[in-house]
Parts: sequence; C-alpha cells; structure tokens
Amino acid sequence: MGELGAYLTGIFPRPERLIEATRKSDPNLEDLVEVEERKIIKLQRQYGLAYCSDPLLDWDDMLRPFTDGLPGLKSGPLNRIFENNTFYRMPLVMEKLDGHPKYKGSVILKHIHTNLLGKSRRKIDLPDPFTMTDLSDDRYYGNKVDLMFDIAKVLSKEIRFLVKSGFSMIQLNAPSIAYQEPKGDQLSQIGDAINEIVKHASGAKVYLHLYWGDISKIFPKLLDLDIDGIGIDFTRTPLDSIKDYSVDMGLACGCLDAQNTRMEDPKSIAEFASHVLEALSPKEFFITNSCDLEYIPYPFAIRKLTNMAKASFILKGS
Amino acid sequence: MFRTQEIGSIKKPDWFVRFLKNPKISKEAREKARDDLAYMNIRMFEDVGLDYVYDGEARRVEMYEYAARRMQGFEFAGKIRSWDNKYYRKARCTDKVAYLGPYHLDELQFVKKNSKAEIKIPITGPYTIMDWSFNEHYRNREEFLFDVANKIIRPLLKDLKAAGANIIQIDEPALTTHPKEMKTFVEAFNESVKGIGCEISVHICYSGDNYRSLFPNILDLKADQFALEFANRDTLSLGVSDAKRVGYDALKLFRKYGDKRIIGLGVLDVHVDRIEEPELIRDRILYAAKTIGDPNKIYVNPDCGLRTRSRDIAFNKLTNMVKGTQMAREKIQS
Repeated sequence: MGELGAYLTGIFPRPERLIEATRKSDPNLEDLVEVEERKIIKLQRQYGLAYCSDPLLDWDDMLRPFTDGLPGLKSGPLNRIFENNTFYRMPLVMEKLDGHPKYKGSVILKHIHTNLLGKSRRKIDLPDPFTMTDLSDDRYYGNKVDLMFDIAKVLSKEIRFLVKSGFSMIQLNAPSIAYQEPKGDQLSQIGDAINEIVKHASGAKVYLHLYWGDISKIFPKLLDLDIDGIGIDFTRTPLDSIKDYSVDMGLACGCLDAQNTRMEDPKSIAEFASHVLEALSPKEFFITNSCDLEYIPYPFAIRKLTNMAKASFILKGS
Repeated sequence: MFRTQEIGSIKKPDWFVRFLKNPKISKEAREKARDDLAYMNIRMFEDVGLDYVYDGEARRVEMYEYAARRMQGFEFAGKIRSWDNKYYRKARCTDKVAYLGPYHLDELQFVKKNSKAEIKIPITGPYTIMDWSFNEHYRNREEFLFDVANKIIRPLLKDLKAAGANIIQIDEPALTTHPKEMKTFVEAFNESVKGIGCEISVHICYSGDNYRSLFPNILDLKADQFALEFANRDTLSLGVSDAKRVGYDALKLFRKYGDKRIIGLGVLDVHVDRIEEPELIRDRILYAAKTIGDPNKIYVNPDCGLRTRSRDIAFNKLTNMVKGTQMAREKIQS
C-alpha cells in the first residue's frame, strides 16, 4: 500500500465578506482574495493534507480561465451546470484552439496563487477534455471528437507549465463522463484524449475524478486508462456496485458529500474509507470531497474539510 | 385571444432596497414602502395593458427564500453561487416540514383591493422548494417533495383560494434539472392541487433539454396552463418559418402529444436589455398559433420574471409585448 491521506477537490466556496466584496467591486478585492486564500491553504497544511490546492476563490466557474483567456474561445450564454441551480458561462469555440497564433501557453497559471502555496506538494484541478468539449458550444470544428483532441493538446501544454511550476498532482474533473456514461468507441476516444494528456505530464500524477453520476457500468473500462488514479463520487456510485474490481492505480475516495450541508462524522468517513480500501485495494488512497465544495456555504465547507482531515488521521491510525 | 400576463417579479428600485436596509426605519414605514412599491407595480402592469396582473413580487426578497422563511422545518445555511458574483440564500431542511399559515395572503389582499385587471398570483412550487434546499431530515428527495406538496403547498393553495384567488401560477424553475424525477414531480404536484378549484398555471424555464424531459409524464399534470420560456433560445429575425423561430421548436412537442392546454408563450428575453420590436413579438405569437393550431390556446408573457432588468427596460419590453400581441390579433382576424 502506497500513500494514505486526504486532499481537497475543486472550487472552495467564497466566505461571506468576499461575496460582498465581489458584488461591490471592492477596490481591495485582490488583496481580500489573497487573505482568504491564505486561510484555506493554511488549514490544508495544518491538517497535513497530502496535497495543497489553491481554493480558486476568484474563479467564477471551472471553465472560466479558459473561456476568458484561451485564444479561439469566446464567452457565451449562461448555462446550468448539470443538475444544479448554479450556472456557468458556456465557452463558444470560434477558432481552432491548438496552434492558435495568439496562444502563448500558460493560461491557467495566471489564475493560480502559486506564491501562496509555498513548499507544499501542489495539486490543481482542471476539466477533462471530454467534459470541456461537452460543456462548450462548438462553432468551428463541426466535429466534437476533433475538438476534444485539440482541447487535450491545449491541456497538455497547460499541464507542462504547471508541472514546471511545481504541481505534482493534476486532477482532471470529469462530470460529463460520469453523467453521460459514454460507451464503445466514444469511451475509447475519451481514453485516447486523456492518454494524450498523461503522456505530456511527466513529473506529475494524473487523476481522473468522476462525479455527478454512477460510474459502475463503465468502471472496468476506466480502469484500463493510463492514469495514475481514479476519483469516485461515492454519493452517486455505490461501493457494492464496483467492489469486485481490483484497482491497480491510485484511488480518491469522494465520500464527503459536497452538495449537502449534512455533516459526516469523521469516524464514519474513516470506516467507509477502510471498506473501500479493503474492497478495491488501490495502490494509494486519498479521502476527498465528492465534487467542488462551492455547492455548500463556506462555514459548512470548512467543517467538511476539518472532518476530512480527522477521518484521514483515524484511517492512518487504524 | 392572446391574453397578456407578467410572470412574476420586477426589479426593486434602489431607493426601496436602501430604505429597507436602514435599521432605523420602523416596521410601519417598511410596510408602507412595500405597499407603495406594490401599488406602483400594479399600476405599471395595468398602464401597459396586461390582461392579468400581480404586484411584481414587491414584498418578496426572492422566490425561494421568501417562501422557505415562512415554513417550519427550514434553517438558512448561507449563500450559494447562482453564477459569477450572484448568490442566493439556501436553507437546510432539518425537521419535518409544516405550514405556518398563508404567507402570500397579505399581498393577495392588497392586489385585490388595488387592481382592476384580473389577478394571477405566483407561488413557488413544491419541487423547487425541495430541490433548492439541503435535505438533512428526510430519507430521500421523494419523501421530502411529497411532504412539501401535501403539508405546505396544498394548504397554501386552499387558503389563497378561500381568500379569492382564481388563477394561481406555480413556479417550478427547478423542474427540468432532474429529468428522471419527472413522474414523481407530477404525482406530488397533482396531490397539492387536487380539488383546489382554481385555474392552475405552471411556470417552467431554462430547461437544458428544450422541455423534452417533460414528456410524456407532463400530460398527466393537473394544470391548465404551461407558462414557458422560449425567447431566450430564439433568433431576432422576423418571420414565422421554423428556421426563424427555432426557439419555439418545443411547441411541436405539445402538438405531437396532442396536449391542448394553454401555453403561456415567453416572447421577451429577460436576460438582455435589448427591447424586442413589436413585429418580432408578433411573429413569435403567430408562429406559436400556427404550430399549436389554435390561437385561443396562446397567452403571451415574458420568458420569466423581469427582475434582472431595470424598471424602464422592463416597462419598454412589456409595452412592446402588448403592441406586438395586438398586431398578432389583427393579423389573425384579418
């Protein structure tokens, strides 16, 4: 058994005073973002999380740095994020993305507070190429597969910059894969696009985190991917439905429900995590939240983060 | 033919919001300010010439929060992002829900006293209340939904009917976000409206799948009208061809399934300041009449509440809506 620990997934909710500051276009907004980010980063360190993430408090949605910064994309209409009462700006694909003359690489790095992450092992969350394709409006390629592969190439370039900047864990968030359960050729193509990214991410681990859908039907195929680890939203995928598989890679156990304020008890999280460990025998294991914690208010997210860390200690002790 | 209506909320003026935030303002003065705003909204709708009016939800802070604060079993947790820097307050359901009395009665009585046009009162529906809350009490969403429908919405509807409401619009913007729950929604909704004796309209908007997931379950819904959003997806070109009126494609579903109930046709995009020309509105209505096959089954309204637009934009949009509707009537009658 390799490493055992915990880490945060996705965008963290903004605290009340930051929400107010964004609404009033506070001139000190950037400073305030830094102050609040420091607090969450400090907690991650204090709790001994395996990796430290930028809480992305200034990201308006998971695709926004791309939508606003990637040449060839334009900001589109508001669209619902899956089954949530939260909306994102749909990227409109207007030109070829990979090889765009204005693309200089490192769109994402500008949106991360690397200076605050210090010497901790760094983790970053990005959309997987299928999800980013699925959530975009293609007005150039006319073929979603071509678009997905070009997005994979762009992500590969972004990841190279991130790895150079010390990020050793790249988490590709893949709600569209979990929600749509792609089959056959489509799943193979997705696998090829993800493998393209992994190929260019030397020096970092790549995890594919699947949430907002039950992945039990496609689970065996996902285990064939060239990734370092798989993240599972256990609020949607029952452990019983996948317990007969052996996971010959790392596993992120998304067992803290990031969409409900109901608090999980650290002991019961640890107990569930040990069942998962026993059933799936992964190479390494991390407890995490099911999806972005931004779907619950800030004080509840802080409590979930604390409980996650406590559960990790209990698990390590046992 | 082509009766006109508002969907719900109108933007609250800045002076009103500032006034209510001032802790020194007395309860009586606040109530008077709410009355004044409600009166202004009613006058605006009537001056524009709408056939059905209400008070622009002048007393409600927001459609979900206002209702959830007046029900037992809910505690507010904090703010959740709607988009960008726009947030709404979301409640936790921590106990069995219970009705605490008719929370829209005061506004209904005020509107009845101060309006000449027919009244249509909007309320937030059981599915949206359930879906927009954190469920910490019930074993599952279905159990939670049926309790909200039976223990809160049903007694509210009964009380509003007893107070003289004849047309009630039940707002369910959350409905199409969970297509797999459509059958359960229909059962719960039907339990809440059973035997109420009012004309029931259901407002649904911003469906990710262009209303496809409503069918076929929605055919069993005990509602008289579907007030829907369409303009947001439509082109701005004039004409009544399928290509020009692509946003109204979902009407074909109603025709295909033989659903002959009234369609509240969204003809104004409430998320843009552009004032739709009367001719565009006319063509949207004529296309709908042609697609549905009966002009008497079409009512005309904005896509949703106009609360995100300034009051003058809302006024101009509604004015053109009434003009465009009149042009459509003349065209049909010519």
